[in-house]
Amino acid sequence: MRTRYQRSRRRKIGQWPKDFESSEAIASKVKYVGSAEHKDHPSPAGPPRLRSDATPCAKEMTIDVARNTRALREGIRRRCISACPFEGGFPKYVWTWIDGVLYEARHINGPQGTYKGYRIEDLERPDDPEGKLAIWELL
Amino acid sequence: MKFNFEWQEAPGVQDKILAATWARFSIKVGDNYATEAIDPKSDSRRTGIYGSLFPLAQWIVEELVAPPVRARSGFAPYPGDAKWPDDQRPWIRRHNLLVAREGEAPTRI
Repeated sequence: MRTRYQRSRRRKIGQWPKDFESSEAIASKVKYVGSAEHKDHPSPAGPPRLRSDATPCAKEMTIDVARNTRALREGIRRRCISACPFEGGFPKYVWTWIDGVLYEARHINGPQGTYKGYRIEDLERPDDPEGKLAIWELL
Repeated sequence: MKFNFEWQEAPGVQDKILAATWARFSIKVGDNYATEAIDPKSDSRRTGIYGSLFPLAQWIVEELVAPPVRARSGFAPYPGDAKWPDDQRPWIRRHNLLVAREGEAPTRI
């Protein structure tokens, strides 16, 4: 029998896997830390190590890292996660809204449960078959 | 079009996969570099960008095995930052390297 091709799961909002903890439980364990190579100021990611060609994160986006963590957790609670397999027990990609702008958070393959995040453009927006992001955007 | 890369050390990059695939990357089209960048610290011109090649590799693998996608008749593929019609997203994702950046230096090609 031919295997039907499944379009990239990385850019699609998927279902919450049955064999993992609830979205509430996972959300409570994650935090945003960012990445120092995108910072020109001290942040939870450590001393600034901005690469010359890296896009610097706006300072206002890292001053209140608790807000970023809240946004990350809300994305997980709303199950706006990629259809990829979980990585170390955590969703690999999470999408969330901050002030009407869509951000993508990527699980850092190192300290478990930590994420970096970045603003994405419309063409990077994931497929959203159940309209999870669209409904949330309107709230 | 020529792609060139040189593996680099990635001190301070926390993600193991991204660190292991850190490189200097350039794309040359004819005599021009599509990856040309100005280093604001030294005010000098560079022809390559630095970052992880993992997202690019992931994008290539996903798109190579995917079935063909076609643009809708009359579809204008570069309307700036306008919102993309849902039925055209597969096409633009197949044809725009920006999708493979994951927050790194943008390459709008």
